[in-house]
Amino acid sequence: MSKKSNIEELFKDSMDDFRVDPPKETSKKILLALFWSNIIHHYKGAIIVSVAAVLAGVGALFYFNQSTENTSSAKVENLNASNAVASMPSSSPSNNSTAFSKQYNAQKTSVEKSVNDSKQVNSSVASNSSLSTKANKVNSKENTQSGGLNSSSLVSYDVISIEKTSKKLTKNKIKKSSTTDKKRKETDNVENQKDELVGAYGYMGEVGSAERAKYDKNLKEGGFPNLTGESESPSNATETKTDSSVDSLPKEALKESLAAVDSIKKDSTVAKLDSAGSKKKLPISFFAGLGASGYNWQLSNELYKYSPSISAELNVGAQYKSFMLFTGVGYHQQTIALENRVWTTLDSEMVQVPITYFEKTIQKDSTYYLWKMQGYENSHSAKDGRSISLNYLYVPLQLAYAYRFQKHQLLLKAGVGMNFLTSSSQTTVPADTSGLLSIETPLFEPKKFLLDFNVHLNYGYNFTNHFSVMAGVTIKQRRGEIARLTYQNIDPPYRPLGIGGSLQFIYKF
Amino acid sequence: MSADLQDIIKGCVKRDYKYQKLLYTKYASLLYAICLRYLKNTDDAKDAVQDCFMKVYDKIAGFNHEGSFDGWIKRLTVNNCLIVLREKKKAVFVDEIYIPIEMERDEEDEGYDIDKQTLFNMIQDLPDGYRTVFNLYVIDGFSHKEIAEKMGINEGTSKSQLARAKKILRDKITLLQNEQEKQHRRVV
Repeated sequence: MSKKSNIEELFKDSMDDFRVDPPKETSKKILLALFWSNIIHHYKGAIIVSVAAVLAGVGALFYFNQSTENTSSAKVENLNASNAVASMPSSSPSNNSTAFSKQYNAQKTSVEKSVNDSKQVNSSVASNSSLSTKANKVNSKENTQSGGLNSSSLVSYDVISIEKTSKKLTKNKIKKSSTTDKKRKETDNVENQKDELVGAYGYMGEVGSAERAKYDKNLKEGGFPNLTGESESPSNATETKTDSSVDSLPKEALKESLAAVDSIKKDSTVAKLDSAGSKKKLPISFFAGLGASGYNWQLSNELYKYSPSISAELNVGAQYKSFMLFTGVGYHQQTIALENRVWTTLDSEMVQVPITYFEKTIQKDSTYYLWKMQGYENSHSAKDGRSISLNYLYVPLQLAYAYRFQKHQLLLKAGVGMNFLTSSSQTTVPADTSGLLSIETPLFEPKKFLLDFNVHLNYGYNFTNHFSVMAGVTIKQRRGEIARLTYQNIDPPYRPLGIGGSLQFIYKF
Repeated sequence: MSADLQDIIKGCVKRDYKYQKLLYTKYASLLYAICLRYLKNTDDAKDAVQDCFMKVYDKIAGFNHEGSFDGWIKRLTVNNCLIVLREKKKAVFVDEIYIPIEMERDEEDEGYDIDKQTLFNMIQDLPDGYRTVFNLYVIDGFSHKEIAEKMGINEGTSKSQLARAKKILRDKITLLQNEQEKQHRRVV
């Protein structure tokens, strides 16, 4: 309550120190924003590098994936083109694919040669056989290169089935050549079978569809194109007459051939291969691992020079070619030993050891460890001391490149580790205190969150295709050190460097 | 400046979260009250106070320790509130010409006996333009010239806004006191 005579004074005096507590949610929001603002401020370099690395990794994966897809689709198109030509000798290419054109030209030359040599009806049979053989060769080569169960082998399998059909058709064609005119009347029957044939071609992909369209067109026009792609009337040319006998094949023969194709298609193994082959699959493998490392922090502050750390981690990750992405969870313990520290005093002949102890104090919301130094003791008699251990749960995120030579490999790994303080404890062993008394009282406060940057160079040996062991050296650097010293006019060791070794077991699935 | 505050400021300069938190604890209620006094709307005030603290932590390294830190942080908050008002175009100034008001008789005011919260509520109830000028002139100590520059108005408008604000407040206080007297008589 205030009692003022002047209205301005009344308000000024009352409002000058007037306070309204902000809602708790607002306070939490502000402090959280502040926390992240600090993180961004302290680690903006690391964040930029990490984001850039992740983007580059994703971009590289996307790029390699795209080029792999393009290569495999080109292979499939090539094979389909071969199939189309091999099984339809009377058709012409309608695809722009270079592979197809080459294949087509080779076949065309072969066929033309045969036609010129024999000038007989059977020349088309010979060309058919020649084309089939070539197609088989191409496909068997593809199979050898691809190593078996993949989309190429699937297509090859189709080629074989179509070849069978084609051969059967050819046999029938020869057998029935004498009754060509009669059978031409059965065009309608063949028309009925067209869809089934189309199914077989359609199975081969786009090239098959294109060929099908020509096939349909020629059926309607009553003739087949010759190898140059020109359509001729069946009554005008002997060769064409013979070719058109394909149209007039008996229904039973076609059914038999198509049944053979269907039986293969319905085969469960082939169906399985089909689905696997058509699936767009990234060439990424996954692995799990177990790692351990030990290192000593080379702290800039003399007081904390001896600071060993050990860590163990469970890894999971993905591998694309030679690149590996590691993540997981780990546990990291750091010990700051303060005993047996050698201090050189003004008296150079006397080496002394500080006798220290920690005092846990609680100030408002924070817990501090007050390091009080009581005195010095001769180093020869001071074997006991005190240490503090800090335990962190950490999440690594690392990108690695593996260079392999036979069963050996070199692995260069770099990344960041996000460390969250889980607990801190103090071990005190009484020591005989004697000598000088000191009043130095550095304040020690464990940090709740730390980010480290690490680089590993490992040598690995692959015992099997799945299991490998790696060992090497590790360098870590931290931003924001565990300790903050005040009253000593010593800069806190913000960027300590840890050097040590690591061991890693990896199992690839 | 106390040693504690100096440590807090040094810690904040180093972006030490612990000290930033201490600074927040120390000044949050003060800054929130200022924001509420200017902006009235609690949501706007919450946003403004957050914005203020972020600016304080960013600019604290520029604090030269010559003046009072309280004054520095208050001025920063007020400026931030004015920016918010300007962005939202909340402060509408009706008068462009200074009209002397008859009720300019501060020296004749009687003694008042009113609690701070009531006074705070009275300020909050003022129209935006009146409230802004009253806050700037009476409580935060800006001159009419400074107010005119900050708000983009002329000095006359600032003076008339202030006079009207004071009249409204005086009327309210008189009304309140009359009611209090009546209640007192009833009790007696």
